[in-house]
Amino acid sequence: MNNSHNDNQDNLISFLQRNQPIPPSAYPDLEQKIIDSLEPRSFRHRKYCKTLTWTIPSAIATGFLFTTVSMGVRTPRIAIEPKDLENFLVNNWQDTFNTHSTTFVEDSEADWLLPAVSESKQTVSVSSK
Amino acid sequence: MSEMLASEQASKADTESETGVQTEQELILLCQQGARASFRLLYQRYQQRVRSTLYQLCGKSLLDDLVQEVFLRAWKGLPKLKTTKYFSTWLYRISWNVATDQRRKLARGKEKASFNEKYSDKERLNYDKDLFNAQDAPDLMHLHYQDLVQRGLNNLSFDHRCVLVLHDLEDLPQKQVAQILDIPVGTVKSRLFHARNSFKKFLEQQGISF
Repeated sequence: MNNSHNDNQDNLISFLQRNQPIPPSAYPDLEQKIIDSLEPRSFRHRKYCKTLTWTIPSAIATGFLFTTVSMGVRTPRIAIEPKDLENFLVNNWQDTFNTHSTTFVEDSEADWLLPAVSESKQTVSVSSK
Repeated sequence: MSEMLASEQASKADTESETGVQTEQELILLCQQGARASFRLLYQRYQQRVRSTLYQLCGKSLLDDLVQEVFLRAWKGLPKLKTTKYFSTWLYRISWNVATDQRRKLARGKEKASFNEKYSDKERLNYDKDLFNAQDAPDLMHLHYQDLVQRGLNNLSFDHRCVLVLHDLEDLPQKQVAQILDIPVGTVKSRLFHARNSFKKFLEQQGISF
């Protein structure tokens, strides 16, 4: 059964191979036409692509390096010790106060610039009472 | 520098190929560098196989155009071909792609009539004319069988036709057919089995049994 099946297959294949349709002959100028229509290889384009592939990542890397070096690597400082934190708060509050006091001083200075006479007059008047 | 080197090698190949015999791998490498003369040799080596495959897959119409398309695609794609020893498989793959594209075009109705209709109308007329002219010729039966094989192929689905043409007519091993069509070997075997059965049935309907 199997042998006859194989024989049938072989017969079919040999029949197909013996009688396979033969393609018509090519147009006489086909070979030349194909060779003429081949595009020239663009080595420049490939070179350009290669250059571009290397230039972009290296430019990014250089920029990153430059930024890192010039700015320095900054990590935020965190007050771990309660004492540091206390100092920080005190300093900041002092700064705020100092700023305020400066304005106060400026005000007082402005007052100080007022003629001293009137002050003395007031004093006098009080004392006369 | 490399550009100059490549063009020098290409021109050297042009002169060498006119006289010397080169291996296929050398030819492919030279083609990758742009040697047209080497590509001409490759064309001469493979055009018959490509032509025959396309003829059996797509028929007579536009055959020259399809052959041209295959070789132009091959020239364009050659620089990307890494493993030169698979050139033959790769070229069959391009042929199959071109045949598939042509079939899609036909299916979309871009061509006014499908291949089968064309075949049945135009080529059938030519065949009958040939038969009439060759009535006294000794290979009348051979002509008749060739027509039967052509019609039998047209009778198969495109997938079955591809496998049968590549394996049984082009005599390629199943593994290579699988690589060309990008399908598992098991699928090749199964399609081959069904294609042969369909073909056998068709031949039996025409009065030929095995």
